[in-house]
Amino acid sequence: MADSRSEITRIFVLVAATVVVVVAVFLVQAWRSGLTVREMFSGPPPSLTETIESSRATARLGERLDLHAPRPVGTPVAPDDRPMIAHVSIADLDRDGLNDIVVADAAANRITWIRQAPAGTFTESTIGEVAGPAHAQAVDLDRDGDLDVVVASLGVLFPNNAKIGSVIVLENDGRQAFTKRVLVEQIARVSDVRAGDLDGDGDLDLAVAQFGYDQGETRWMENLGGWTFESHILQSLSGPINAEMADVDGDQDLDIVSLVSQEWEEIYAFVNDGRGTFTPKRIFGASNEDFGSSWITVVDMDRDGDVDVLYSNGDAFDYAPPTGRTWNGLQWLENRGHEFRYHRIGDFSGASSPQAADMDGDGDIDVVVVSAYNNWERPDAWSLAMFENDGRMGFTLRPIAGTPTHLITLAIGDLDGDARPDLATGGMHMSYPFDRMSRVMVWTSRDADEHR
Amino acid sequence: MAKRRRGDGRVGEPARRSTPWLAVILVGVVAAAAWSAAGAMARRVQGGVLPPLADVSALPEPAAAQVREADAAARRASRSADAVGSLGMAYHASLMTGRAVETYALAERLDAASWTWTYYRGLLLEERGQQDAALDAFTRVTAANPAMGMAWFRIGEMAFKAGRLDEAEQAYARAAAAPPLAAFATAGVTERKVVALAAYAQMGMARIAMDRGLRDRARSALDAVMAAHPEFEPARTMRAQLGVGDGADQPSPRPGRPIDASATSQAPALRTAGTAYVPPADPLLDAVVAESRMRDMLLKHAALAGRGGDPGWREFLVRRALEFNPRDPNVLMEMAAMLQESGRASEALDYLRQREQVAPGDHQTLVEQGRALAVLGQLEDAEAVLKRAARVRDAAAEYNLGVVLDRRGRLAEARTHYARALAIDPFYARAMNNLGVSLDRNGQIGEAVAMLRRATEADPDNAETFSNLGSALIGARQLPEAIRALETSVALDPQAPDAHNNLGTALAQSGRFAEAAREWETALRIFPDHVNARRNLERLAARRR
Repeated sequence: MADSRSEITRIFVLVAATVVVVVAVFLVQAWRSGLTVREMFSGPPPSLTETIESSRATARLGERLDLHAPRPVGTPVAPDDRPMIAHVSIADLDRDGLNDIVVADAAANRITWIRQAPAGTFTESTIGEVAGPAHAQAVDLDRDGDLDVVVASLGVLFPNNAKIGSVIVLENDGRQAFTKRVLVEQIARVSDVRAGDLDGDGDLDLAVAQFGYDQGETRWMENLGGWTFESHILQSLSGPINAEMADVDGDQDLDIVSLVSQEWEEIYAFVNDGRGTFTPKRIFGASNEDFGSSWITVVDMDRDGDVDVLYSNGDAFDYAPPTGRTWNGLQWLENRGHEFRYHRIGDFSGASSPQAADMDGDGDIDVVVVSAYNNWERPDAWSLAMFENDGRMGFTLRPIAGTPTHLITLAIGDLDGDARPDLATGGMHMSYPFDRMSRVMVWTSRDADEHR
Repeated sequence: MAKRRRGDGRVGEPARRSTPWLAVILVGVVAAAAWSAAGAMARRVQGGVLPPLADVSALPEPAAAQVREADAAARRASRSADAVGSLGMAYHASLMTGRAVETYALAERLDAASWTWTYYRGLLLEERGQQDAALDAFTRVTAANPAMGMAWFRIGEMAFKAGRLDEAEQAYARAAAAPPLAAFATAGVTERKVVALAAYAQMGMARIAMDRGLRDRARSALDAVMAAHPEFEPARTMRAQLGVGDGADQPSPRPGRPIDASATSQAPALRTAGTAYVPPADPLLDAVVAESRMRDMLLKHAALAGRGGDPGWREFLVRRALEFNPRDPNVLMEMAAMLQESGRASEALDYLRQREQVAPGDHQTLVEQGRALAVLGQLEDAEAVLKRAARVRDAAAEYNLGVVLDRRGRLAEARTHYARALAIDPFYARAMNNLGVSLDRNGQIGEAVAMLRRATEADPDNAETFSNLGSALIGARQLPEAIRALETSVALDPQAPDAHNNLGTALAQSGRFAEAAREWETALRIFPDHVNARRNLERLAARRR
């Protein structure tokens, strides 16, 4: 009996010693490795896994998309031209049932109208001389039943501290003869202006982004009637690019969402109390002062009934080489009621002017984007691409074109009457190379062409 | 049975003696197996096995070679955090961001006590806008090294952007109080000129005050930063912005900008030096940059060094970019710009000609060539090159051609080209200035005054233009306005002798002789050989006699 107990004791001691040694070995190895024993058994700690995953967080690269037939419209490009189209928008300016294109031409300092008449034939004409036009929106500002054009004037495209910006309206007389009206001038360079009723009085007010250079502003302009507007300064930061209007808090009035670039790299919501009193709220800010904010579009990305913010960072005009940055790309800020949550969509060099639409007709929102800054010598330098939504807000990059290069502005609309989204793009050729230039291009659905 | 067992036991006595040895052997074998298994598990978790070498085929060969070498070294010492971290730096320096983040993370696991790799990983995450992950990284850094001011500053920036102002304030305070890091230095860079991190941190606190609506506190904070760091232009810019909008404060005048008598390009490369924001110098990041062979990284930091007034570092970076990218048009242009700014126009011209070969048809190259030739006095060649440049509708080409023609005495032609520049860029202040001066010389005083007034509106900080306007107004006998313009000029640039001389003339013509004498004396004090000022004083003395 005693022997038996002794045997059991010996076995117990042996097992215990073995366990102790094994545990000690694991502890020593863990200590040597800078890990906990638990981490050794459970795999990499979640933060590390997330780190590695997040470093890869970008859209998959899909096959090239060959659904659009491109063609230049309007004034052709001569070899010594250097087109600088700052903005294009699609609108039926003459209300003849065919969509046209309104163009802000910063090289020629004018606003042009590329009229579609008859269907498929585009003819360009100047509707207003404006110094350094940056943005043009067709809207019936005076509510007389025709479309006027509200224009943001930088004065000059290149950085300048002088007060040379203005807000201009090209007033339509109903027969597409336009009269230039200056609503405000001698202010910091104006990069964007949008119209909407901000104070609930039934007329259209304006939200204005003034890039300036060292000194910029965001303001809204209250419509007092008779082409008189009173300015209210919302913020005095340099670098505003966009001032969009949308109801971000779901209280049935229009708020203002602004993108502030330069070293700030921030997005603000100016939340309206419905009577034109605004409370600023920073909804995103990148601490990378070189993030390269280039555009925002306010849209319901996830179709949950509220507006989100689609946001590109692709500006590479700041320093040489103007070939895009590795961190350029697209993201969307999900409106979660009390906050906006950042989601990266994907990398895209020189990303600019992202627009959202259901491009493939599958019921979710895709994103089309252009690139103004890229390493154009490379065969994989794309100037136009789509980020295809898989329906779960996962995106696949589908390149569309690498020629023409230097595309900075994009509009989506139905240009050929087939109820499918077509594209219009504008080229900004400020830097080498100059061998694949364009001013304004339309990219119509190839399927539609085949039907025709 | 029992006997047999006992007998067995007796027989087995030697076996009993061997049991401890068997046990020891058994435990040893188990320990060895456990050691091996635990090691393998640790390596798996650590990622001790490096992922395969990334596809470097898209990199320029020098950068690809750098990554390959670092990868080979890391494989030879795959348990060494330094070796793996160095591979991370090679990926980082080659702009392979995803791989760099991954590799830094592996290095972190190999040496949990080191915060360097965590910091680098944080930098890359921050660069990509992944704020939450970056904040986590920098927080780990400060936990490991509470004196790491740059990490505190970055935490402050991210907390501020996220609206967590109290957290941001604390982080900025830690950054401001942190011991300063020595600027990164490397062979060939004799001196670095950087602004102290504390200045940036204090500016961050001023911005917090602005966000809280405490504008007076923000102004005071910025005034203190400007007093302590007068070279810190971003504080001056922000201070000026605080004065905009509510009208409560007017921005303090900027220091006068140097008068550039030579033709200046408006080539779109890009923001000129001046008030553009320059982030704080980061020695750890600079160590990566200094090892980079990639054009984009080197030129970015060269541009920042140029704006920040750090010429030695800029030259090092541009020359390194050229060493590894000798035929790249962007590098050649940057090299030329740097040389031209330091007065080495002849060398600049050489690089501009090389650029023309690799980027034919680029009118900006021709504009810069024209400028260099003009500086060298080769006006005929400059004219020919600028005429080629002006085939493209470009304001800088027209303006510089006007300057060259001006210098060749063909004033009417010069005026035509200034006017063309203004047709392209209606706010081209230098073209307005030169056209105004030319009109004045041509006797078209009314038009000259109008043009120079436009020029002062377009560039209200330019002392030279106000001086020219004052001079034209004297010719137009509009003396009160002339005095105002010239007083503005001397306020913008108190060291400009011509403005003092012209102000003296305007005052004298207004009968204010004592004040005139003071201005002429000031002109002579600044420039003792100023002939007109001396003559004016002599005439005044004679008149008094």
